[in-house]
Amino acid sequence: MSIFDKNKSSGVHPPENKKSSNKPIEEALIPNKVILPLSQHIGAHAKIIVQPGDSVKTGQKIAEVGGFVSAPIHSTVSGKVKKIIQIVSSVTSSTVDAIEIESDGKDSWVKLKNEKKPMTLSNDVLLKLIQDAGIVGLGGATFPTHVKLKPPPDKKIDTIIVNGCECEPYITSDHRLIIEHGDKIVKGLQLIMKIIDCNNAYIAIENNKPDAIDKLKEIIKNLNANKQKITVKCLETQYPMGAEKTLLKRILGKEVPIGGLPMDVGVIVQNVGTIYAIYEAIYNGKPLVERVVTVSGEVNEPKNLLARFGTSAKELIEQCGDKKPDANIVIFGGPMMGISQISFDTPIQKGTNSILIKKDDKQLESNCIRCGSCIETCPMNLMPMMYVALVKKRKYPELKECYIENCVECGSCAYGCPAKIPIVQYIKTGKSELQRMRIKK
Amino acid sequence: MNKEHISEKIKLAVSSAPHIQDNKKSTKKTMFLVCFALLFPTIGGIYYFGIYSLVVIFVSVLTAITTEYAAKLFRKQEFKMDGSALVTGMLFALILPPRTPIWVVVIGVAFAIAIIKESFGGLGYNIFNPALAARAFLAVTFAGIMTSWISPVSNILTMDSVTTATPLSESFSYAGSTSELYMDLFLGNTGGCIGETSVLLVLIGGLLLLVFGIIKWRIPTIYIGTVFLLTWIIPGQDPVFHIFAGGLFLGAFFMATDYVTAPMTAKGQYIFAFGAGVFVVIIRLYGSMPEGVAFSILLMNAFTPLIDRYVRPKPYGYIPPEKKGFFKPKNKLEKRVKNDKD
Repeated sequence: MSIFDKNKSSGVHPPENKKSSNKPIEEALIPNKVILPLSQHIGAHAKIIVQPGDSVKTGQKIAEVGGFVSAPIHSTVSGKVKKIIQIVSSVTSSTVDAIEIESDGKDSWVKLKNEKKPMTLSNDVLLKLIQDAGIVGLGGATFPTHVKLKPPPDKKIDTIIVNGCECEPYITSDHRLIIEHGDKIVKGLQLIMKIIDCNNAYIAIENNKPDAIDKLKEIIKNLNANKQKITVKCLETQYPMGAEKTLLKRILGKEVPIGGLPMDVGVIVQNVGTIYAIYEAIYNGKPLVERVVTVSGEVNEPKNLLARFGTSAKELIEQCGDKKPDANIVIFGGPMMGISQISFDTPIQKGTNSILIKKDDKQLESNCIRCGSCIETCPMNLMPMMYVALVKKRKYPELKECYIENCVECGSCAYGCPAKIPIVQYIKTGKSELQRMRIKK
Repeated sequence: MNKEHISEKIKLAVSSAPHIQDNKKSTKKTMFLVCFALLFPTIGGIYYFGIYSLVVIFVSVLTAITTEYAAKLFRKQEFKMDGSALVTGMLFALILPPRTPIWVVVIGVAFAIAIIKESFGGLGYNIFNPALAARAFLAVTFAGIMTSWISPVSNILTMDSVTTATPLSESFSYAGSTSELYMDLFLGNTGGCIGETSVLLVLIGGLLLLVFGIIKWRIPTIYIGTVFLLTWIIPGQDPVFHIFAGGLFLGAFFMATDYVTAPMTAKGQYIFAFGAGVFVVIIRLYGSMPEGVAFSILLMNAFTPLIDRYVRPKPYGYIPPEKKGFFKPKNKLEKRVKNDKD
């Protein structure tokens, strides 16, 4: 790509470390107990519809939607509901209610209703099926999918982008999913295209996954898609290519207005994992109870595990040949945006695409030398070092004038900072202080 | 067994994302690479002006580090050997006349570190480039010493020297042809500060910085280009002579590009470099001093906070406000923020 490309995105290129990219997806062991938080998505918490002592089957709904933007939760094992407990959320690090279910080891499923001809169903039925399956954005943002697929009538969607970039180092779950279930992803994509009545779709993959690109290109070539146009887009490997705003600009050359959503420019971005889940929900009637989780980093055998939600990180790490002795950080997500956990017992949930074990080797911050590398790498064209200065001076209102809300917290600035300043941490502090000021008013 | 291995006894470290850092980049590495690049002009200085230059550089670096240590002690802060004092010490020595007395060197570099750098808050907080500001300070306090120049020496071990004029001063005359003059200026075989005379060696050092990715092409190119263009337009001036003579190359590659005192945005750097180029020409042609590189950079250093305040990149997804009449109205977001405050 030439340096004159206007759509070229900035960012960084950390070592890829995709150790598990040629390891097939393995089914993880069914755990003895699962802990399912009621808030595994953005929006209102789900409402519990079971009592302690009830016996449940795998795939049975145990919590119902709690509002318009919400998603139901299903039991991921068969067994008995033990109690309602409070746990520390793996995403927000605050306490949330969770249901503890003891497995009976049989893993007997509820009766699944599979559709023979889903393409003939009406959109409302399809959306209801997606909602009932509890599907949320599996790229990590966990926004309920049925809400995303029903944009307000004044927004005309003309393009769907399927996000298979997986730009975070280490993670290979989407990569493996494309290789092993590429046909299902394309079928799922066709369903979405039908639901939102849009005939143009791109599947974006970074060029460090040539096997996935070839696989999808072959599937699409053999596809008799009447008027639906699906293009596989090969992109250069660059972090954060998989951030939806960066991706949108790179593929279509459009920018999402500040504070807006991709649908404001007529685009919906969906992760490949989400699309696979939609396929499973509609073709096989399977609710969202498991996902592919990459366990990598300082473990003896990095693997891609198909794991049930609610399984503790500890059990999954043990199935990967245990961690190396001096590793002391457990991250849910990738090394750039993942959240470090306080305990090995934290259960995985819908948004957990990876468990990463690392050594704590971060260097401490020193003075900013104003080199401007954060400005050069910021994909949102912001001035990250300024937020650090303003937060240190507690000048929170000024943060807003510098468009702090435009920051996607991708971490490119902090990664490349020669002074090792944890810029994202300051930005998060600034954002939460602004939020607090807003609530006070 | 496994079960015991992963137990609650292991303390987990918790920190904010990102959990990896680019180990190829650090402040220390940057500073040491700059020092490495500065070795080339240093070699030129020793070759042309004798071993005494090495003594000046050595004393300057030593005093810089000692002063920084003392200042940190005084300010009750931890002294870190990040290499910034080393860079200041080297740069300062390279912009001194070859026969500067040692005591003047010590005063100058102590001023640079203690007053210009540490009293403003240390690394990253100084407004002016410490080496240049100290050079300016000496130029007004020890005017005589700071304007006595010598010809390149024949033997690097000798202290004997012949006084001469620098190419930019009015009394400068050259016997050979123009192309020979250009060659002498390019190689550095002329009077001037220790490290500034040889364009070739400075260029090697500067290109190394570019290759290492420490500096960007913007400031040096625009700075030198502006001087070239202006002296080309102004009648009676020789643009090639103006960019080769004096310390323009040293200033453009090593001082105007100083992270701390130059603007951070690309657009800001264009303005900075252009302004500095204009000042060089004004001072050289119409000022009372023959050379204007140091003052041009210092003047633009003073503008840097202003430039950084008003020249900002356009954020992703920014929608420019509609133009009304001649003046652009403030954008909606800013207005909203102001209203919120009221």
